[in-house]
Amino acid sequence: MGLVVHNNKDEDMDTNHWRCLSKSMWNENFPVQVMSWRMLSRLNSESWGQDALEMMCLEDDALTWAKATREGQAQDESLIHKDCNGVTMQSGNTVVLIKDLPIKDTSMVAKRGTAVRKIGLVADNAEHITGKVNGQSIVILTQFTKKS
Amino acid sequence: MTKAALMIRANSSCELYGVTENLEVYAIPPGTDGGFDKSILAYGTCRAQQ
Repeated sequence: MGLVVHNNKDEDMDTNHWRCLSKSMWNENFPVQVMSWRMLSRLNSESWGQDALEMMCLEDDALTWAKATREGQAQDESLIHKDCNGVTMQSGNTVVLIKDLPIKDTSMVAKRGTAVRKIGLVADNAEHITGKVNGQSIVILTQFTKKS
Repeated sequence: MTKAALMIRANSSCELYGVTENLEVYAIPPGTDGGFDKSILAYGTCRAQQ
């Protein structure tokens, strides 16, 4: 079995396009706030998306509406991300690698013990998280991580 | 009518991206009645990626 640690290139969303959300999130109108919140939730594998979402402050009514499509929430039990010990991970957590992991398509190795800060959860795969190692965005298998 | 009202609210530009072309009403799910308070004005790329 190969180690599936690879570069994070398979985005079907144009993440750069959505940089506009860092402005629209401050719009005074509820509908615009709600859509900004939902799109940012979908972008939580990007550290800037996480940061923006943390800064957002929706009123209760708007937040209820924003969450009505369950955007940003695990769809079911099978999409809960767990580390090597079965501990549930959240977007923004810090994890430590429990073994040396070669990074696919490069000669780099992410060393055991490396802390990966501000992880993102891959929405449609409970075994994948995203994070930065040596300044490079990579996808990491949850089974090789330990939440710290 | 909704679009006309949204054009005023949005200053005739996409409420997410800011551009001024290809603007249409995007009704926000769920329960999309397309009303003024349940919609945004968005241009093509923003609507396509919702």
